[in-house]
Amino acid sequence: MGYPGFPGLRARLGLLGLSIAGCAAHPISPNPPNDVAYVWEAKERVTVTALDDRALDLAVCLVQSADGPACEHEAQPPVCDTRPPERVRESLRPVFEKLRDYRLTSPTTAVAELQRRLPSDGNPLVTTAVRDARRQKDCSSKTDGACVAVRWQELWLLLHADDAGALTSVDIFPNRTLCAGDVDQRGK
Amino acid sequence: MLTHGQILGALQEAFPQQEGAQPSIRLVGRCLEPALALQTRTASVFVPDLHLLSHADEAFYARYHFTAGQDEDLQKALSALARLRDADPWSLTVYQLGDLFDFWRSRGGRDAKSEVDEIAASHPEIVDLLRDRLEAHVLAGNHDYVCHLLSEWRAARFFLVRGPSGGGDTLVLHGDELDWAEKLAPDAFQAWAVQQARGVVAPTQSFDAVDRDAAAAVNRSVAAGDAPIGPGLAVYEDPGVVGDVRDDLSFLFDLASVSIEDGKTRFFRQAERLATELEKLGHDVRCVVMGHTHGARIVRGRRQDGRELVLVDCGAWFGSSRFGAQPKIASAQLGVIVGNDLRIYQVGAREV
Repeated sequence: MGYPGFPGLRARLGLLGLSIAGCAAHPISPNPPNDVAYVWEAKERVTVTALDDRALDLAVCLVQSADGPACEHEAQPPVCDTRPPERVRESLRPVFEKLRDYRLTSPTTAVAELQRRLPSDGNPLVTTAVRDARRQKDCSSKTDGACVAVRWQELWLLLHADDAGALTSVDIFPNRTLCAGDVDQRGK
Repeated sequence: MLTHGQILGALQEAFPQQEGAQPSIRLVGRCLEPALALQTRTASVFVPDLHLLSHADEAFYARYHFTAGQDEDLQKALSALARLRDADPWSLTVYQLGDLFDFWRSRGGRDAKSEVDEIAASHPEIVDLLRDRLEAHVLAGNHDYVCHLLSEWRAARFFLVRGPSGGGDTLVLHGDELDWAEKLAPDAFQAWAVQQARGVVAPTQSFDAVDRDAAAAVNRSVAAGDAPIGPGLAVYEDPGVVGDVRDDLSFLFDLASVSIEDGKTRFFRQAERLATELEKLGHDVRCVVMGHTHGARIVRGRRQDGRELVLVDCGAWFGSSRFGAQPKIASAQLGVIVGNDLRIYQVGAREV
């Protein structure tokens, strides 16, 4: 996000950039080759510790509202994707089920493992090329803990694991603009 | 959830009654209808059209930008709402109904992002209050459609607020879509309703293109020059005086809504047709909230299936209005919905 010519907000964004390490409100951007990289507002994200039913509910809410904090608060935010929630839930369910018990033991083999594990009809994409402000290196390095990003339908799931490979948290955020116009038309 | 009394009290505290002046807060319209069965999770405040311009363009359009003090009054009102919301952010949801900026009237021929940034930089307090303090859900209108396309704004073209099980949904939009539909021939109108409803249910790039073209067509249909945003669009014959009333118990009756038989029903037919099409797609829209016209009113009627439908046109915080024969005042209207009690207030009485 940016506000050239808007001194107040720009100054605050500068502060945000300096204090980003360890802060919950940071941008994450999976950046696989040949794909478009976006910096997502922290608002458009939910973080879960397990890919259980509640996580699936949160993901559905996020897809339909683009309002992660409200989803986490169970505030039922206004939606701009008005498909029946059950339909969205069913479209997301396979990736949650397939990744629920996944152990991320090696970033170097994770991409191939997950590509095999996920059904092809959800347009999955697996990558360790992730720009995450909390990390010094991308997910291919275990320096800051193992991680891998999975794209499925409208979502990215960024999986984090401990040294033993067990999932510790999953950041869930959209892979396209929600509620807004098509990104290809930006600024025209 | 906040009550009307709490919201009204906060506004009255921010705009104390001045001796000899017109009432500081007035009820412009109200509809209390339990059959709507709208959501009761959060109170909602709707900030209508602002048409902000950069300071440079304000000088050029001297007659049409915020009148003296209107900017300051808006900051006061938004600050009061922000203080109210601070205690529990989930108790109050704020929407800005579009035409926050008047990009359409920006001069200079720069790219859209630069134009919007300059306008925002001219009104940082208002933008900060809306975006940061109130975390407002911002819609894109026909005068700032570009905010639907700019990544830093990502303004939606509509929101649907789901009601409780068996209750009514609320559709929130700017309203230029309904303006466009008003110009269509009957067969094209029906096609519009179908297409619009499908777009609401499953927005796609192709829908965006149609939507953008319709917004542009609405803008082109307005006379050239300064005509599109003139003063005095809202004239309230019914004073609807709130006075020093402070609690909800004082509002037992439907004081100031306009029935479908009256003359101020513009866009109700379009809203009704859209609600009917959305019903076919599984949504029970019983309330439509909009801005765009700058004329605040609440219109009640029924959908084709006989279900209650209410159109809440929240007016504007821009230009001027008049209550009956009283002197003109700066338009400063807010829509407020708490449960099934729908209201529009005029905030402040700054004579212009």
